[in-house]
Amino acid sequence: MQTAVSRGIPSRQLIRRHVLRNAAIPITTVAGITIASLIAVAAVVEVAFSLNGLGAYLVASAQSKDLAVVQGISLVLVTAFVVINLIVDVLYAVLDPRVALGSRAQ
Amino acid sequence: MTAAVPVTVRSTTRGARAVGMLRATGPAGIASAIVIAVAIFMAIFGTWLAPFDPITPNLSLAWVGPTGAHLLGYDFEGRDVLSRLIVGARTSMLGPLAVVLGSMIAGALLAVAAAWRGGTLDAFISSGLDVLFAFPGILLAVLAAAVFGAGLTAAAIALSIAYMPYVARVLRGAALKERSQPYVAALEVQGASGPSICLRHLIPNIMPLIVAQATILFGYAMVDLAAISFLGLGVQPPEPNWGVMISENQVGIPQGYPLPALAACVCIVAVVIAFNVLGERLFEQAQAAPR
Repeated sequence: MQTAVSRGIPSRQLIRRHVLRNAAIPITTVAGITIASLIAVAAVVEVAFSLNGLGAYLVASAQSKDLAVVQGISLVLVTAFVVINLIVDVLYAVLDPRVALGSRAQ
Repeated sequence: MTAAVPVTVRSTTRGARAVGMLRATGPAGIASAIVIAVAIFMAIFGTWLAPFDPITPNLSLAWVGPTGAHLLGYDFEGRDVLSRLIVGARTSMLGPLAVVLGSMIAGALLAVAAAWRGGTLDAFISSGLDVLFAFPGILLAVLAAAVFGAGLTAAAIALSIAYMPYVARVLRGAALKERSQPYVAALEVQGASGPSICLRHLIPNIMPLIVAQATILFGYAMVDLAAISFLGLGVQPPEPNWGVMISENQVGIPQGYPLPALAACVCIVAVVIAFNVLGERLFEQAQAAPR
């Protein structure tokens, strides 16, 4: 930070390129977890406002013990979680060059 | 190794320390503690306190507003809302309690084991917890309800598993820090076994953190269990429960009878806020206080 200031970089560029970039890493982590839980909590919202979404379908089939449907929907949701986590992990590398992806780590 | 290392310093009794911890949380903490105490009182003695029968319906009184004897009026089946709130406190509080106990015990044991042994075991436990981390509690509880049938037990077990990584992550950090304290080395030199040091000295020393974590977790568990009961996968009607009451009475909100549903909402929100405030304060204390 001090180096950047002493180099006379304008403060707007300083904040965008140096402060935000470093601050963005924990934000991405939290955002990933939040999105994952929001997908699950969507079921509650769908039931509350009687929207016929995936979540409401999951709850209805859980109530009637329709295991095949439960399995299918949870597979879709879990795939979504995996994709979100993948995006978060890739974003780490984009935001912080010190995090290397894959075989470049060696 | 000449310096004597104080192992556990207990200047006051346990009760006095608890009161001191509570007093240090300030007015907000004390107010929260009062709200929690009222909720616990209702949970224990609710069945005897409730002025009216909370279960038998009387459809001719459905949606009748507040009267002198029935302060919060009647719900969609003509049952006294206040009585249902008071009796419902038991299932509403018991579920989160089970979740907190389950996840704290499992989480603390895993965390301390990981921090104590280190190496492969630590890597194994930590990566296993990371996998669980990405999995939302509500989804796990819905799946458990689908497999084992709807009920408080299945939901509580599922949520215990889902919350375990949150507990274990915080406690593992604390246990690692504690592991490097001189008193642990002193005990090892004295020949104390690993499990005995962990259970008798290490865990008591991170106890303030455990209590703070449990308090915060209770709030989260309450919200999630209420959501599950709301979905119809937790406590089953006509059993009174705050989450059940919201789902039963939500049809009243667009019809102009919002009181029964809102009363249950207010109960949940008040108790959860109280637990969060108290938990945050205790957490700050546990982090700040040198042990």
